[in-house]
Amino acid sequence: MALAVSAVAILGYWLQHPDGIPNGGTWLGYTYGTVGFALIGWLAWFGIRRRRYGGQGPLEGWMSAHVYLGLALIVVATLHTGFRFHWNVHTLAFVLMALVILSGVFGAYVFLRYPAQMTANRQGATLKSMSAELAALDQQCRDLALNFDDETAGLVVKATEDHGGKFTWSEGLFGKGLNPLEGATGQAIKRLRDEVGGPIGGPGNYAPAEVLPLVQALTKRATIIVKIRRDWRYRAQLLLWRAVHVPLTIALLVALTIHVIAVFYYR
Amino acid sequence: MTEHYQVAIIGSGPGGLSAAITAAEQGLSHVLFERTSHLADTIYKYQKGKKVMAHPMRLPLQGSMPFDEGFREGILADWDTAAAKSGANIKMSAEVTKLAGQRGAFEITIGSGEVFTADEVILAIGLQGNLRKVPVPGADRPWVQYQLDDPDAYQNERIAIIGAGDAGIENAVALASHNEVSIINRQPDFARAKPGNVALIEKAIRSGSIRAYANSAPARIDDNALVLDTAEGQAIVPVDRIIARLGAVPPRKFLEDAGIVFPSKDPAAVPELNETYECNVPGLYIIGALAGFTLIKQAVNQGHEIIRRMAGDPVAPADEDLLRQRFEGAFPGAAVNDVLAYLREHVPVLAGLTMLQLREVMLESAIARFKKGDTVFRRGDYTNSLWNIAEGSALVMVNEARPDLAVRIGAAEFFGELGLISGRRRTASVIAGDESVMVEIPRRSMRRLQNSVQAIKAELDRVAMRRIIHTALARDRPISEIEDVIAGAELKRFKAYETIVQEGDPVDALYILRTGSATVSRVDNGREVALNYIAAGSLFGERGLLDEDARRAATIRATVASEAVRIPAEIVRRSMDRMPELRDIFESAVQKQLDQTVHSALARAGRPETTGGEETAIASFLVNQGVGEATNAFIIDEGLCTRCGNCESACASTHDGISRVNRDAGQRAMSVLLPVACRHCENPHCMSDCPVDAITRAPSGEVFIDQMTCIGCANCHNNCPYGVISMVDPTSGHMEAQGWLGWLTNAVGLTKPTHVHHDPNAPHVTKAVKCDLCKDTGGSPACVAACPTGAAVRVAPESYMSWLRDGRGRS
Repeated sequence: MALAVSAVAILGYWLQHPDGIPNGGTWLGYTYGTVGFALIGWLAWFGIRRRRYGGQGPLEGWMSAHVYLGLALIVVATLHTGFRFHWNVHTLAFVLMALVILSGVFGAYVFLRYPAQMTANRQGATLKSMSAELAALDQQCRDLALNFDDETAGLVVKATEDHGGKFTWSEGLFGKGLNPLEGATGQAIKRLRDEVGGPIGGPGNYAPAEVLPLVQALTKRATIIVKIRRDWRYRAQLLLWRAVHVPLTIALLVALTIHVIAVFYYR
Repeated sequence: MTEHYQVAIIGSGPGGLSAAITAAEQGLSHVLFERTSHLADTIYKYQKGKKVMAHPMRLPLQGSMPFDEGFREGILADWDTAAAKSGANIKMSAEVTKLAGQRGAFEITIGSGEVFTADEVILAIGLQGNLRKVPVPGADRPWVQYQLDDPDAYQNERIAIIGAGDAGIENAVALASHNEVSIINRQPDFARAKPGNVALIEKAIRSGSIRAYANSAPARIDDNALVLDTAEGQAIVPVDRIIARLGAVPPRKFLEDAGIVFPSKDPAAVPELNETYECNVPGLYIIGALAGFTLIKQAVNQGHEIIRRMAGDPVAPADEDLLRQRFEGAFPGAAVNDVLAYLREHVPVLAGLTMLQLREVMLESAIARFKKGDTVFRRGDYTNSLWNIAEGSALVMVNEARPDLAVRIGAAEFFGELGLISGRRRTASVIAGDESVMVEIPRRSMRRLQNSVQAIKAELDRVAMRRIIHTALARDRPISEIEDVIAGAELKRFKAYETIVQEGDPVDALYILRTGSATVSRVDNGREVALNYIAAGSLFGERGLLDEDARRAATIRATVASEAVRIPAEIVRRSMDRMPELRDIFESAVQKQLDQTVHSALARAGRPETTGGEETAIASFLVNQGVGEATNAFIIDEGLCTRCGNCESACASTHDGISRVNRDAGQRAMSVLLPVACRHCENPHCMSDCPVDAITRAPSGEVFIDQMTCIGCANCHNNCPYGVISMVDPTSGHMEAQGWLGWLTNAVGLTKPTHVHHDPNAPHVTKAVKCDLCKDTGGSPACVAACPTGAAVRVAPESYMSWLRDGRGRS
């Protein structure tokens, strides 16, 4: 259907090949405009439809239509412009529309790609069970740390205070903080490996066998923290693109209304 | 000289008090003995502010003892007033220690040693006065208790809980946050409790907040210590308090000493009574919970009726009008007793019942008259009642296209037993063969009857087996032609996960699955691959049956406790010459399997090759989660799920703001999430013990709870092994407009579910709430309809396999 709309639109443009300057004022331009306007209205209605429950058939079909007709809208609207852009409210409407569609494409990408990755990352665990595992490991790390000098124990305790929850927006969105060996955990492991345990003949006071269990526990909890962070990131990305998509849609609807009124008023 | 009364009443609960008040009004010389210092101890011990329901609503209340739906305090106050006003002769703090004699010469001894005599005795002591005690020395210490009113009343104590049933677990978990708690379990595990509680206690034990002693029983109780016999020898548990939760049973010794006979050794058994509530001891009447009547209104009516009869002024039983209305359609104007006598004579299933049992069954059953050709039920309906023909006949349409092959069932016979036993859809339509009178007994009543009258169950099983074989193998012939097959068949029971047929074994029998379900699997390249699912009513194990050297090509395992009819291969082979159509039946079964295999191979073509290992893992996960007994399970493919939560919001929005789906609490395997949501089991556990019959299965399969009828007793909540029934205040949910920010980021939301906070101290009612498949909205379930990516599905067990193979990952 979406392909059909686009094909008819392109074909029409090619056949008609407007005489003079192409603009939205020809009958073809009006047709594109009307179709585009209807499409935008229908596409935006999806936001409401999505949360009206009961008696309207499966949402899955609507979702798929929303995506494909949204893509078709680019063709229709671009042809409606006749490839002429200026610094005015009309072009603003087009740019907003393009941004909405772009964010939608990103959303579709996110929806297609992340659920499976998120599932793989969780490996059957839930945030709750991961937190519980983390808490158990914290205790284990702290208990083991009592066998070491104050500075090492301090680092370990500091490491156990990181529960994966503290990171900035940008870290969350762009995947920073996903290196398990940075921060206090990394420092603690480094100290345990290089200074306290250390190779034979090194500065260490402990045998590697004594250091190993603590390093293992620290590494394990670090990987869980990475999992938790990754999970946060997936969830954030699954949600946040809409924070762009929806407000831009509202802006688009405003600009579009002005565009239509302006066109008919100053005709 | 001992005091003598016409009637002595023991117990001042609803039944006993009602009897005493009526006796005072009727001028009968009477006495009421109450063990405690207040009336109605069971209700007195209800938690403060508990709402007490007056069910069944339709049953009228007899006598002048007041009782209506209300709160504990109000009801107790009303009863105190009524008792005082009536001038009933009540002896408080008078525990009856011995009861002896019979009509005209009863001797009642109370705790003080005083002896009273009476002509007749009414026993109305209920069950709660006889909580099971810890049977060891030292159990009389004041800090050994049998009840927990308020867990927050105890802080920083060492508490041992004895008993690992639901009550024990719930107490232990509630106390664990502020106390040092141990739980003493006679069993190796917590199999007796419902799964939700098992999960809770196991988690608490793992985290160390509760200490568990398995395979342990108390040996004695010392000062501040509980001594246990454990598998490893004695253990000493230091305690400040012991809470024993061992249940309540009839005080068997006291009752048997009085001469009362019980029908079985089961400690929960109820004595047998005639229609005037008299037991085997002449002049001794038993009413209320002790007689198996658990509702307050029943007890009040019984107490009143017995006294009125003694006073020579009998009243019709409270259910008389209700029964008359029930019978009005089929027998206009007839007297209730005449119809009951007619039923006993014409319906063999009802013949062995006492009059009381018959009345109770008929309150829930229906009598209907059919004209010739009327439909009784249709093939595919989800009804599971048993139909009995009192007069006339019924035609079972085994083959819709061939009415001439319909099986005629005559008077005094029954039909519909398959639906009753398997809990699955009706396998054939039934129409009336003549002008007929039929009695429809619902599944719940049948189950109770089967438990109390063994002969009914045996007869039902026998007939059901004949018919299931007839339907599966020889539906086009009269049943008389396959008597030899029926004679050679046997009913086999299988535990959950038990192997029915083993790959590689000789093909020695044919099976018809009667109840439960099974999975078919095969070892392929050293890995077990799930192939198919078998639902109740299906034929299986037929492949290679005609070839004497054949081996089983696949393994078949029960997914839940199941029953199958087994027919030895040589009997089938012998019948073959006589019944050539058997070959067609078997061949079409093979053909169906072939079709399925080809179908899924086609569906799989062009998709990445899977080893089948994942499918098998998910299939066995689903089976382990009990999906085998579901008829409609909610499953989410997390490979597609964007975690938008629309399914839960849709559910809440359709159901007054209270979602019946919980994804977070669900179980996962690979990418499949089984959220906590009702699966609409074949034989719903929730329906087995609803005192007011509020849970119903619609003909189209939905199991739903009627909110108006539900009294919030939580039996279903406790009985559901999958924890899908929540007890909530139905007014606590509410749909609220989205905030401005939510409006921007969360799409243009219209409303969102919120929780209304009521004053927690105000009296409030909780009711049982669960999924009803959105049956009232007219559309498909909102959870599935609202899923934007098709990740959420509701599937019947027959389709799990094909969903696993073909449905997932499609987008």
